[in-house]
Amino acid sequence: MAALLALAIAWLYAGTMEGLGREWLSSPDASYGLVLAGVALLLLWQRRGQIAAAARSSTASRFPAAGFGVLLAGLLLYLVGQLGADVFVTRVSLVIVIAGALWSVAGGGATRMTAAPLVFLLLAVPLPALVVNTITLPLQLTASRIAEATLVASGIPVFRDGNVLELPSASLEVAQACSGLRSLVSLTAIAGLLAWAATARTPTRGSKLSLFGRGAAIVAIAIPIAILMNGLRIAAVGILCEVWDPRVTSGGWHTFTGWITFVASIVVLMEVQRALAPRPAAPDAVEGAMAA
Amino acid sequence: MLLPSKPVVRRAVFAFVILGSAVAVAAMWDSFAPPNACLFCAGPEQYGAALGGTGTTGTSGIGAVTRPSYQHAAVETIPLPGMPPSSAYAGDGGAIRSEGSRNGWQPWGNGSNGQSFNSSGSREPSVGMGGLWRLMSLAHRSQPSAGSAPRAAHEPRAARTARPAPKPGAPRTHEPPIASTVASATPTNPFNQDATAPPNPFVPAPPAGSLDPGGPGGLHGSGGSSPSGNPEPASILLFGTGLLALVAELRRRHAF
Repeated sequence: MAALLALAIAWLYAGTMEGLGREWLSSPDASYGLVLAGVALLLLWQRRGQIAAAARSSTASRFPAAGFGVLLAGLLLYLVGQLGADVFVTRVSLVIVIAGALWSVAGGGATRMTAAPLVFLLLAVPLPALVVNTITLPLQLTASRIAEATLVASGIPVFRDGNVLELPSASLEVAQACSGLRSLVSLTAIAGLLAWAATARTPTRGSKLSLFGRGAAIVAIAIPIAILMNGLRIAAVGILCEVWDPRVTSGGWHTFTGWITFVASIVVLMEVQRALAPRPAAPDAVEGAMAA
Repeated sequence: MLLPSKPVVRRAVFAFVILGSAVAVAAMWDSFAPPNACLFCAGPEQYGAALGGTGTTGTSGIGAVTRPSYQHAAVETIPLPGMPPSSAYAGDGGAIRSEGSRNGWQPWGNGSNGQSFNSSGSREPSVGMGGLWRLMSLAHRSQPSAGSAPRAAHEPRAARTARPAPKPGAPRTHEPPIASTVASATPTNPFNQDATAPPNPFVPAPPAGSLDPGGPGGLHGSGGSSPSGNPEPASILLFGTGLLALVAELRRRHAF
């Protein structure tokens, strides 16, 4: 029966999933979703035993009206997405329909076990074009300003004309692809994973709300970190261009500077998470949590 | 009792009925697509003929259930009214456009494909009709005269001035075919200076040079006029790096 349900969902969302996969494979902005979806599937596979056990234990419970409500809400969202030709809404409805179908058939316990993978699937959905177009230009200008300030502080003469930085040896344009959106979405997704892993595996004495608050804080802090580090990346390219070799603005060097800046962003994010982490619980509590 | 007795099976049947209804509705759905949303574009049958039912609506993923082929037409292959067709459309699009109703309103007809409405008979613009001539040149410049050599009126001014003047007394010989001259000359007709087609608003402008998001930023000379871009690495590389770092960090923490 579960296979039939999965087939029905796959049939309903065949086009959506095809388009989603195509975008993951073709768009450099959205390709992180492929890895994130893989992580979600891996987590589901790892938890398959627990999910099955939770489903077996919930068969005697009452009729899961909430699950059918979620399923109907997801299908309604699918309808809205189809009517409005909104790809993002249609893709989001896929996750909600999966959650609703799971809740309806296997119960709330099993759905709670799959909450994290479903959230990761939700994060893997590429941002809608409306959002991307809205935030790209402010990101470009912010990165340009940060780079300009850093270059000036470094003693390098620079003239900023909008999103173009005029250096003595070259002109650097903070174009759409340089806006930092890729590192922003990637670092936010990493922050989500980090928050989930930190709160799920660290036994603490805090309440669930405080754990959720810390996780939300980690995700929220990832946004300014990504924006700041992208500005510093452009400034570093400008500095290298001036003091070393103008060829750093192209080819492998350029990719390397972008990658190393993202690694630095992750290090900063992990340090922030460590600073936000609560004090470890007493040893007996740790052992009890690990045993659970 | 028609319904099975086990609760989990009953729930599954209920969910399956709901999903089945949604699938049935989706199968009958006539989804939005740019070709059927544009009131000014040609009819769907022309798209079907021109495109051969290929292409999809980008990455939308909507409407992949059985649909008429024209609804899957790639939007960048659909020319706008008054614009020249793109390369994908122009394969047989010239014939389609010349037979279409879009040119039928012209009082002088479209059978001759001519624009010789001025007194001189040539296709140079007259002063009084310059604006209209320009409009007509916009409307007709995209129509290839299939299989026919360009007429003398198409000859650019530069090509004609570059031709050597006949010497007095020299025997008149047949002039070389104008078509060869036209093919190699740069058009300098002031009324055709905008021979490049206006951009299709449905197609994003291709990134130029170093602004290519997928490509590396190019270097331009000292104080160059065209700046070099700074695109980031692909997000799969960034996220993969972050994931590896996260896994390493978690393993390190749990090793303590």
